Amino acid sequence: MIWVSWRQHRADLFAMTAVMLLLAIVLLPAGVQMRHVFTHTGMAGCVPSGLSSSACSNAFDAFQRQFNWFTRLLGWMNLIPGILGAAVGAPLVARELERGTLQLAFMQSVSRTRWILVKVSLLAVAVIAAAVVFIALVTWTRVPLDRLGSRLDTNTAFDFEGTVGVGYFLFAFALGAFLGTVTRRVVPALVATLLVFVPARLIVQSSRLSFLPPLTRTANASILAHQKVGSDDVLNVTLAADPSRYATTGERMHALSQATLACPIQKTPDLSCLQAHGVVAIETYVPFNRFWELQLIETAAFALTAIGLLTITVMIVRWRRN
Amino acid sequence: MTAPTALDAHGLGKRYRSGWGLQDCSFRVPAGRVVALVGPNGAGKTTLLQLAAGLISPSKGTVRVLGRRPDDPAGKALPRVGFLAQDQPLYRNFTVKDLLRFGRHTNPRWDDAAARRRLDDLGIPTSRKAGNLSAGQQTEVALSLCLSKHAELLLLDEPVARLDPLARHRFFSTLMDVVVAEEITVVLSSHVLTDLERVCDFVVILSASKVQVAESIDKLLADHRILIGPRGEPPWSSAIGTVVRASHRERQTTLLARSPAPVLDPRWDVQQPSLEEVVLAYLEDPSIDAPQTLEPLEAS
Repeated sequence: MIWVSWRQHRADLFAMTAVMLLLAIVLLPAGVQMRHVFTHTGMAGCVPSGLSSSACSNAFDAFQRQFNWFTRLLGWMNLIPGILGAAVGAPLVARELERGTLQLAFMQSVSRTRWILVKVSLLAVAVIAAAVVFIALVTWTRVPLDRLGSRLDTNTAFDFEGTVGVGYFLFAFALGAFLGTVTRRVVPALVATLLVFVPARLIVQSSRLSFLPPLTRTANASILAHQKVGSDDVLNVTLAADPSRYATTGERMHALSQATLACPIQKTPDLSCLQAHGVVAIETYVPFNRFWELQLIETAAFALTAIGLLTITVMIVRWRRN
Repeated sequence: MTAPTALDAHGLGKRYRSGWGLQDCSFRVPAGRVVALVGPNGAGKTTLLQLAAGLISPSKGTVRVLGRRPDDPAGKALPRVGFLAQDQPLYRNFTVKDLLRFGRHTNPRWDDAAARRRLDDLGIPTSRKAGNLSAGQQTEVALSLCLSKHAELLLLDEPVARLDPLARHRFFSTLMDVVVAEEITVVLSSHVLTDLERVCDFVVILSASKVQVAESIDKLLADHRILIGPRGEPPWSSAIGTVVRASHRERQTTLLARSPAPVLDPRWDVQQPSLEEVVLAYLEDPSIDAPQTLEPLEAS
């Protein structure tokens, strides 16, 4: 039965391999080039001390301009798990229904349950393998970027590193298989899979930092110095008057408005100016060390949904006789 | 002496969204028969065969093949039942060799040598992809897959519809070789009776979703007579049985009657109908039901 599934779906496996090779051809040179620029423009030395010097700041901006294409490409690459997973999942049962070969398959001596379980397992393993290769490729390419920005960054970092990719691939595959089994048509199932996958990803993406309550802290010089290159993900900054210096609400309001007028708003708050007015900047942030916690939560959410969808698919194949 | 039952339907019905595909269908087929399942297009032949194969489940009643429910989810009946679907689907991107390997991997009683021999005899190139074979060759390959499974009951839905006359002849001789050698039961459907007449010894007539007749061809022919006599003057002897069909000319009446008493009236001529005449007479009037307990059988 394993041979049968392999023979039936080897074209899918070859296609996935081809896509991964293509990605490697695009990503590996980009990774090499980024590393080269990163070390030869002295940026590597800027990272520990922050962007205090203008040389570092210029190097950083130049780097960002040079590799802007790559960041944009990464944004689009969020679709790859959805497209690949759907392309493998949607035809799994639907193509056999369309071509009538399900009648051939179901009239051999293998029970339907075994038949669908072997197919689903084989392809799920292949899809997970593709996800691992995909994650490894992008993570390797992104190494210099990881030193410049937060790994929690939505759309370009968090979604490609760690384990969430496995969840996305599996989810798209399971959704495709399920919708293909329900609609009995390959193309509508493919379209429907993407129409569910993309919004599901966007919703989770926009709410993931609130899976765990964010932390707050009072900004100080060293935190701000690392903000641009640091790893924590700052959600917002609010100003607050120091309660030890101002006793009443009126005084605090006054101090805040004075500080807002006096200290020009730049990319980062001017701490010394604020301090002179007795005002502090309070950051709401997600600490970088939550990366793995958030990864595991999100991976589990997508993977468990996938397992649920695959279970329903197996049940439908087992019981549907109409 | 009664043979064990190969196929047994009781009050069998299948309802689709568009209406009943098969209704209140009860009959038995003894093991070892070659059954012609005939009826016009849309009568429910495919539905009946799919129910017997377990591909679909009944909405009403029961069907048993070789004493088992065919739609058992564990698939216990599967090794003993072969099914050839109407459009004879094959994995088009598999080579013929791959298809044989597919059969070998999914069937415990697979006869690889016989399958290869059969395809060699037919001159079908085993390294070619199934999708590149002619329609006739695809049918031969699909039939070979079905036969090599060593099933005890073969359900073949319109197996010769895509074959030319020569291929039909070859198909039936292959099938008869297997039937004789292995004593299996075969159900063949067709809307053209003459396709099946030569090889079948049992007939199931299906029209408008109902079974009209299910009995052995010998018995069916023995029970029916054509009576030709003067119009408006029934024969002297009182009983002429059930009139299946009556047609009248100016001065002559032709009756196809079931179980008439011996006709002694010399004005009436009695003839033996052909199978085709009997079947057509039933198909013409779907409201006529033949009693279905004609051949007493014991539950196996």
